[in-house]
Formats: sequence, C-alpha cells, structure tokens
Amino acid sequence: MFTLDNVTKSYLTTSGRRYIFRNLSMVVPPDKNIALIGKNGAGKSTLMRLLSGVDSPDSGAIRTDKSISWPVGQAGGFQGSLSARDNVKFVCRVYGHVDDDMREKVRYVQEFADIGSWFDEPVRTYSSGMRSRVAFGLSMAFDFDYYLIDEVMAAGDNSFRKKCEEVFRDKLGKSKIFLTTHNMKEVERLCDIVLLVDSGKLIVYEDIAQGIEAYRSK
Amino acid sequence: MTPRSPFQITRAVIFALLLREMRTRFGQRRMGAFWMLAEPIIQLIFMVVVMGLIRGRGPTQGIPFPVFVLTGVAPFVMFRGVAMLIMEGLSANRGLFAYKQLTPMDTFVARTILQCSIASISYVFVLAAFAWYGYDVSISRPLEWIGLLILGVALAFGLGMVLSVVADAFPEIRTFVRFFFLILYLSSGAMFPVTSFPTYILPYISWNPFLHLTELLRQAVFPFYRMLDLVSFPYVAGTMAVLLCVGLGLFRVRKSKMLAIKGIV
Repeated sequence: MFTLDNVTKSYLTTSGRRYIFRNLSMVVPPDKNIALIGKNGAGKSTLMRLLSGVDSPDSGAIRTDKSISWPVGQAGGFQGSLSARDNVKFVCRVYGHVDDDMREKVRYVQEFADIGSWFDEPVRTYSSGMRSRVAFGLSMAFDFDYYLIDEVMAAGDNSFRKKCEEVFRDKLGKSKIFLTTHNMKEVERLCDIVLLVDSGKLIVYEDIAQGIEAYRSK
Repeated sequence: MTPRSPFQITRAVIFALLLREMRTRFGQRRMGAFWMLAEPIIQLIFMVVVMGLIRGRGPTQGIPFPVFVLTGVAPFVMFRGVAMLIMEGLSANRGLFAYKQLTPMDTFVARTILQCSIASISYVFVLAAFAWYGYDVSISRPLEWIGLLILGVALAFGLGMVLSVVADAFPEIRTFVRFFFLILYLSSGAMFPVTSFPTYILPYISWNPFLHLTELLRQAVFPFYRMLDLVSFPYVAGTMAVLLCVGLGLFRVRKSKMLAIKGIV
C-alpha cells in the first residue's frame, strides 16, 4: 500500500517554478499490479522517482510498508569507470548480500546480461543496450514486493525482450509491479488497476478498461 | 533474509562506498593504485621543496625548514580534502540514493575515512623519506598530536557539512570556496610562519582556526616550539563544536530539500 500525504513537487526552470503536483493526497490499494498512465509530461516519471526515493517532494510525505525496488533498468547508479561486476557487487553489499550470496547474484546478472567479457570492462564503454541489459539483470537479481518499471520493456533486442518477459512472469508470482507505459496492451496484460496522471491529479480506476478509456479520451 | 539492524546496514553501506570510491580512483588511470598514493606524496614533497627554494633560508626556531613546512602543510591538506569532499559528496553520489539503505551521511563518512587514510599513509611515506634523508622527524608528544588531528578532522567535517548545505542552496558559491580555502591556507601558517606577515594583520588572521591548529600541532611535534601568543586551544575546540552542531543541524533541516532534484540550479 502506498500513501501519499499532501505531496507537493515542483521544479525550477529558467522561466520560474513549475508545479508538477500540488497538495496531492491519495491511497493506492494494496497488492495490486499498478499501471501509471498519462500524457508525456504529466508527471509519471516524477511520481515514479518520488515513490522510489530517488527524488523527494518539496513538502508532504510518501509512505509504504512494502519494499520497493529502484526504478528497474535505471543505470543512473552505475559508476562509469567501474566494471559491471564491481557495480553489481556494490549494490549487493548495500543490500547486505555478501560472500556466497554475492557471488551467486553476480553470476545471475552476468548470465542474464550475457555480454561476455564486456562484463569486466568499465560501464562507460558500454553501448546503451548493454547498459540496460546489466541494469535490468541487476534489478531482477533482487527480490522486492514492488518493482518500479519505467517503460523498460522497450529496451534491448528481440531475444533479450523475450528473456525479460520470461523472468518477469516468474517474478509476478511473488511480487507486484508499478508500471509506467504508453503501451495499453501491456497495461491490459499485466496490471490490475490504473492510475491516471492528469494535470497534477491522480485518478484511480479499479477497472482497467475504464482507465484506458479515460486516457484515450484525453 | 533476516532484517539487519540499523548499525549493520550503515556499516555495510559505508564499507561498500569505501570500496567503490577506492576502486573508482584506482580505475581512472593506468597504475591507479600507485597514483592514488603517489599524487599526495609528490604534492607534499613538491610543496616543501618549492617553499624551501623560495624562502631559501635556514631553520625556523632551530627546526629545518622542510620539516617545519611538512608538519603544517600535510595536516592542512588533509583537513581541506575532507571539507571539500564532503561539500561535493551529495552531487557526486546523487545516482546512488535510489538504493534506500544509502543516506547522504554514509557518503560523507565514507569520504572522510578514505581521505584520512590516504593522507595518513602518504604522510608516513614522506616522513620515511625525510628520515632517510637525515632529518629528525620524531614526534615529541604523539598522543596529543593524534588528538589534535582528530579534532581537526572533526572541524573539517563540520565545515564540510556547513559548506554542503550552503553550496546546495547557493551553487554559485562553489567558485568562492576554493578561494576561501586558499585564504585559510595562506593565513594558517602552514606554508610559512605567520610572523613574516605585518603585525597589523595578525588580529584578523587569528580568526582562522587552522592557524591555531597548525601551531598546536607543531607544538606537539617539536619539543621546544614557541607558539604564537594568540593561539588558544579552547577557540579551536569551540569552533569545532559550533561548526559541527550548525552543520549537522542545518543538514537535518535541509536534508529532503538537498536530496530533491531541482531542475536547473
């Protein structure tokens, strides 16, 4: 369950302060796969960042009793001059996986990313595809109650995408997802409720079809 | 997985950050491990030699000039490093706060530990080189000396915290911070004795806690060192306490604002 309590978030631009959310309060029902949809620039990614804790609101609070992943497939936390192996090890240590546990996770990511000997080269030398392979593998190596996904499914080639879907189906048995996407097919296939972001408001639709309809009519 | 205690989490995170920062420094160039230590060592020796050439004069209070300079410059460089690294700690690690266990304070602590370790090791190397060359590098009151160094690191930590909050609120200030440290450096008496300044300046530079600290450190190192009259230990300890309290307090108040991504800054 997520609770947003009087959340205000703005960004400073050259033309002044722009508010994305103003005094937003809501409760997202527990144990549902959530789709976050809305037009470009409506604030989907901002909300995602706020939920993941990468960004914090100007005022207000966001609470949850579940463990939430970092945005799946985000490579922002990677240190460019370190190899993928070192980056993966770093995250393992932060999450308290050491020794055998860590070795197992590193092996998992290495196999999943499948980028051969590049795994030991500095991340800054990777192509964006390679980077997202490692980042996605890293997210899948850890268990969370909620996975935050920001249009990651679009990344990678065909075979990789198939592999992602497989792992994902597996994960969905135990975990829930919080998905941002423009692909309504994915919403229908994966999610139980729809959150529509529109001009600083969040509307919850328990019925998927209704939510998609509302999105299309915007 | 069994839940970890807060202390275990902090310890694991700081350890992970330490390894990461160290590997990053290793990895940036060829023979990174060598350069990580060699760079501060060369800087210190260069500083000492150049100052010796410029001044070109004999011992100060019976202390050979290179040893005199080293005992001031090495600690100051360490303190400055700590303060600067803390100031930049947030922006350099912003991507990492996606991992919830990792807090800004962890990055500050990790950076402080790393900076102090590197500075200490390079200092030992330079001391060894000096001893081999024939200088007397013994420390007459080592415990007092170490205590003063810890005090200085705490002072630098507090200063770094204050600067990180200020630099976050007014990013333009970063330009002046280097300049500010240069003034502190020149007036700390680390490079040359402040007695060579005109007397009317002394009351102004006596505000510089690093001047007091440098003098106190020298007194702990050399058995018969005469300090400046204005040096006061309570002043250094007081400054440390105030900076640390203000820095930590400001940080606590501003924390969520500092973590927020601000668009343009």
